[in-house]
Amino acid sequence: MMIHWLMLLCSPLLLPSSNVAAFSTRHYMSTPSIKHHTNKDYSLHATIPSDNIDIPIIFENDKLLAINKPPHISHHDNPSTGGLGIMSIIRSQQQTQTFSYPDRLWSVHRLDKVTSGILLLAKDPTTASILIRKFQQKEITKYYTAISAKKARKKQGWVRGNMVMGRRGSYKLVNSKNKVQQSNVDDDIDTEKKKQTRGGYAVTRYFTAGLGNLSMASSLLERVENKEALSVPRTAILFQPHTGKTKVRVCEVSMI
Amino acid sequence: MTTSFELNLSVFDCLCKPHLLTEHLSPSSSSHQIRVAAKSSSIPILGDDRYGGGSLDIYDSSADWNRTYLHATAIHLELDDNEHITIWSPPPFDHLFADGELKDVFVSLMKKHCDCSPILDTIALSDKDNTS
Repeated sequence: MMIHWLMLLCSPLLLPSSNVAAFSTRHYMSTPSIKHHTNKDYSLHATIPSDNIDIPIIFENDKLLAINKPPHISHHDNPSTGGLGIMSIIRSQQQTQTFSYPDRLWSVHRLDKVTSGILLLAKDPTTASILIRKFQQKEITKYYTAISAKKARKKQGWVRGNMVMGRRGSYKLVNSKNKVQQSNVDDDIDTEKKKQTRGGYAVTRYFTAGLGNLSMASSLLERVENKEALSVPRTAILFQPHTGKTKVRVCEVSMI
Repeated sequence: MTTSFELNLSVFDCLCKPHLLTEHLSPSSSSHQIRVAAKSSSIPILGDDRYGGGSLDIYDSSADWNRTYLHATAIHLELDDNEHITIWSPPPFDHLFADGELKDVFVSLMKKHCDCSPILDTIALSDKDNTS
């Protein structure tokens, strides 16, 4: 009885439209905290044995290789969930010979768990140090592609600011309107501030293109026609990070 | 004999340097940078709940609908004086639109704004491969 009552309470009629899609596709009860989709993503990959995750090698020479990292996989293992990181998955696939390169690989940079795409891995420690130094000194040109459900206000722009650790491990940008050079920022902020700005000064350039002229996939169109509230792809974005985090701590000594 | 050797090897593998190295390396990565930048430009990345990007909420097996739509797409570096490495990985977002038109949008964004000619050459090459 109680359950039915709650269901009724959550029915589309009584909810603001933005929640309708979420409730119609999942069979949760009423708490607002179920908005997090990360759990869904977790289970998606937690149930797939690591051998069945496709990790394509998209470039290889005698010094390094590049894989196309799938989304939902973090770089490091997560001890609290037991989820394997990309390096462990590769190692496990090497043991079962489902990863075509058999020898040891050195990690030289990382991608966020949610991000897919090019991840370089060095085949020897010397190449690893060279690559790490290049990433650190911003000598590597990188581009990211993305989709947003929002319409862009500007065709292109720069985002500058200090990355500050906010709540629940999310970062936020502060002093983003302050267009000072990176070196000045490092000198100016006092020690206390420096502690806060662990994320460092970040400069990112972006370019956008509207997607209004493209015809959406049928499963998206149905929902738009039914006026179900959901995010739909509206903007294609190209990002170019110009600086990563500053104040690099690299322990190259431990490599060899 | 063999088993114990393998076991030792894997224990050694677990403890060995790559882990140590990446632990220390992580502060240098641009972790979250793009996602934060997107949010602060009011174009949060679709599927990125942490930074307000919303979600598609589509659960069918045809594609990975509910991912965060962020892809490390191109990289260019000079390994040494005469060895350049350029990689282009097209974003795997084609399932969002009907006829693979999305690919062209990203390619033209690159052609318009990317100032790294080796990357543009690589994209042109892969275009050619696909059409021929």
